Amino acid sequence: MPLSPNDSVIRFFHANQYNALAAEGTRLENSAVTSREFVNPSENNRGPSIFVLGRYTADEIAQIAGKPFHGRIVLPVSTLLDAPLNLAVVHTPGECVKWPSLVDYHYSITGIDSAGKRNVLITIFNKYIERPPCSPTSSS
Amino acid sequence: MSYNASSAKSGTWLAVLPGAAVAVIPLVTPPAEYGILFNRTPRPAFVGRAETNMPILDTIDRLSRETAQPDWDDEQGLAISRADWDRALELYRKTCGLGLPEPFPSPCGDGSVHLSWAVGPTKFVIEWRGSQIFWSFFRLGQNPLGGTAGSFDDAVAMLRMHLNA
Repeated sequence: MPLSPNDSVIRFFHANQYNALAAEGTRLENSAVTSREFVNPSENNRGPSIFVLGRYTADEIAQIAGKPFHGRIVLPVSTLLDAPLNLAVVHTPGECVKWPSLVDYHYSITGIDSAGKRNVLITIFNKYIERPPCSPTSSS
Repeated sequence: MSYNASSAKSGTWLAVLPGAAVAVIPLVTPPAEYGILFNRTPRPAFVGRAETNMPILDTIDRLSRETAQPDWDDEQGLAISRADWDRALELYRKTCGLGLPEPFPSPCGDGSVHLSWAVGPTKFVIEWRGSQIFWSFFRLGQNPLGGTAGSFDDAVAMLRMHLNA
């Protein structure tokens, strides 16, 4: 499924990776992108996972993927492609076997090959946090 | 078995209030694993609130239990060893007197532990797994900086330099 720069993508992050007491723009922690996603990319993990929005909404993807309380980053593909990091966004259905209905919408960000680039990606992600993690008892 | 703050609150300790200060007296000998948090030395008989009310220690203990098994994050995350979490305490102690806010401990799916200090528009992160240590410095509106460190002392020196601590 070809991706347009105008498409929006979503990435989820865990509450342990979000410091609500930090200044806005620095709250997402480095731990939100693991080195397994950039130091040793493999067939099963080519880079940070994202889902393209469109067929499914953010809420629907969160429900299907079992991440209803995770924080969410939503950003346009063009933001990733325009970043001075030489990134690409590639379709990686093989990394989405747990959720067959999302296979067509699972992509990976490739080109993150160092902790320094990871830090830049974290900085970008921090600008596009759509929703912080929430607890099962809070309304979203 | 790991340290459990709730056991300290449920009768193991007796709180007394001499004026405005808060002190805690151990009624029984603390369990051996309690020493993990305090260099494995016996706990003093009187401890001020600042020393007993340390949420970061509880957080680290909770995270060490939550990340002890693989796939703890449902993303095939690698298990994080208790040794690496204990090093978080070691690093925390090294920075206690620097006048910084409490660090934020965070586990990573690659098996590393992260400790970060947020100060105004800046944030300093030290992450490690085994002997590998990496530091990062973020300032709003600027490109992040980062590099490897040979030891926690080296990483703390970078932290002090960037946060003026």
